[in-house]
Amino acid sequence: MNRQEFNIDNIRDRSNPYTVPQGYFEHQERRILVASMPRKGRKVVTLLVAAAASIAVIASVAVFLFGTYRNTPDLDSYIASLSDSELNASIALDDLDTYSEFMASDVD
Amino acid sequence: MLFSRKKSESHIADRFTEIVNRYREPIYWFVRRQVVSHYDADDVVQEVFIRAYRSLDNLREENAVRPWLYRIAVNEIARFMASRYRNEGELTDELSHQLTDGEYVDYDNAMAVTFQKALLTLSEKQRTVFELRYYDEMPYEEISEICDTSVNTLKTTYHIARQKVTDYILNND
Repeated sequence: MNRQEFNIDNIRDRSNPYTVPQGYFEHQERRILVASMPRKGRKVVTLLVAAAASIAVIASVAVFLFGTYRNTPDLDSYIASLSDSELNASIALDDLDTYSEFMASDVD
Repeated sequence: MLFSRKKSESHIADRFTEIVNRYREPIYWFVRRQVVSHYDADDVVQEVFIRAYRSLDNLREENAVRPWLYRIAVNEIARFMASRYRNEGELTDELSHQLTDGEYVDYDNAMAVTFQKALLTLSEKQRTVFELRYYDEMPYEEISEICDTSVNTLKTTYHIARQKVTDYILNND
């Protein structure tokens, strides 16, 4: 074949040797659509996970605050828990100017 | 607002489905002739349409769909090639090997195999322009949009590519 006779435009339809697996194009559209478009289910899952995470954070903060409140004794309960000597010492401290006076004082 | 949003999502889905239905085969063959392997072509085509869906909002005119989609395909092929092959030489060697000893190639059609080998001797730019003009029969103005190159440059590129392909076939007939 010489250059003058040969024209690649004449062999376009016969120039592709590539083939595809049987049924490839029949299923290609669906596969592309599934891969490309986000499914509604994924959106719901994302929202649920975000909501659960938010609830967990709020609950943790609430537990911390509540726990702190519970661990802070009220004054009446504290006084009731003191022994007589501890109570006397506490009252005496209010009257003393210095801690050393308290240590030297005859408080049992 | 919820209703209008749902209607908008439905409209986008319908529009995208129509684009996939119309262009999935031509895009596949455009990609396949450049990456050679069916499996690689399948992966690249998936990526093309995933990116197309994500940027569908940017598409304003209906007659701009084809150049827009092919531009995405050109970019995805370039991305794939860059990630798979370290240089042009390795790329050409590997693609030639896949063409000579790969799956889903009709080796009974010896002339067609030679033709595709000829395309592998072209530069990436030459191959893209050749594919779009020769196989997809696109006007130069549309190829110009895809390749971001002037029409005159494209005509020169295509002419050179045709010469190289013709020479290769005649020398390897």
